[in-house]
Amino acid sequence: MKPTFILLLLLFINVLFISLNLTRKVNSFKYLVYYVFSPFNDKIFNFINQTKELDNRVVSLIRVDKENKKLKQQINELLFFKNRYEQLLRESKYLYNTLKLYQEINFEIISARIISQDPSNWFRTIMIDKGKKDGIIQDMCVISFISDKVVLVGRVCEVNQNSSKVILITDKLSFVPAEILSSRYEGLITGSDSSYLILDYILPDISLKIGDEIITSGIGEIYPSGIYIGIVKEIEDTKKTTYFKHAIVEPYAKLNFLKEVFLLKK
Amino acid sequence: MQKFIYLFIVIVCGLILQILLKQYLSIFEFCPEILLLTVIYYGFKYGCLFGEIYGFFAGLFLDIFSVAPFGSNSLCFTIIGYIFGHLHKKLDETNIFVQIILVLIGSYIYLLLMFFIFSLLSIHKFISISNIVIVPFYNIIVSLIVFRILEEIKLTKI
Repeated sequence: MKPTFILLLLLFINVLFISLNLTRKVNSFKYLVYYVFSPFNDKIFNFINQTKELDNRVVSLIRVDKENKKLKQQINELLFFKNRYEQLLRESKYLYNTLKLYQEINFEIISARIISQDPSNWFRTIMIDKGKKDGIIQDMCVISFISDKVVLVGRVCEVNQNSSKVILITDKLSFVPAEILSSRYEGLITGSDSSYLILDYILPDISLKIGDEIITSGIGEIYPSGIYIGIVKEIEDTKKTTYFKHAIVEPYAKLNFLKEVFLLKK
Repeated sequence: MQKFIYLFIVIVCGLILQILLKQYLSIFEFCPEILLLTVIYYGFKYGCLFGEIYGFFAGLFLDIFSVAPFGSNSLCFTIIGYIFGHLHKKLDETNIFVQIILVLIGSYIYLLLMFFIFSLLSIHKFISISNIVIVPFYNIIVSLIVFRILEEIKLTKI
């Protein structure tokens, strides 16, 4: 009898939580726990990234150990400078591209670092280290820079004081008004909870081929026009569909490997 | 008090592990549900009362870090903890085959409950083949390690 009574009590609390979802009191509780655990999360990710670099250092050290002492010293120095040079080269190339694109965009941009991903399998979201106090508001468009392109990552779905959650374009709840770059015909990009996107609502007589680039159309208030979304990978057989054509789109943004993102200030 | 601290550490470690696995070892972007596995283990091992209370707090913690409606994971884990608590001492807990079946059933119960909650709240999430095949399979593989670890650090030892 006792466990059943406790079960009913806990279920009642849960239902209360669900029905009070995101009210001020529930939010305050969430913010409090976030505030306590966000830095902890961040430290763990940093630690893992550091350990990854450690492997390379150990391997290079073993290799160098076989050489004589004099050469070892020189090789160590050269390797260090080479790595440093390559790292700086990569960094400067990235910053150069970012700056070039940054100037082309007529929006004020806020950069943010990714500190964690959604732990559940139900949502494709990331947590960034900028929040309300940095000027982040809900539904801000989130982008990234890949080589010479401004690519879409998602939009802000939840804002806390020091961090925010971004719903990625691959989430099933994400809808982006889009257009085919070559023909300028419009459609709707939806997430599929996998690494691919679905381009929907394309009229059957519109020409669409594999390799076509998809960009945002600018309809609605969230996503500005001209941001690259992805490239068409597969087109669904029109005989199977009733009216509209569908296509599978591979996003440009490598969402699993992003380390930082940029938010467009409205 | 030590037991509460221990359980809190289990929840935090489970959550961090889940985030890390999603980041580095996800299969088609799906990761094993470590916290669900701990709820199944504790429910099965220590009975209904313990299972449902542990499930409630583990779910609540997951809800804080997820964009899922606040309370949804907690609701599912409470029910799962209660259900698996009923199997306490009725099955051979050391049998790996039993553990695999329990994890498989637990994964599907979680899937159905979450889908039910999403449907009630008009959140358009659908059960995909990946949800049905990859996640339970991945859960089973990881449960063999997680159950072993939890078995090694028994609550009674603390």
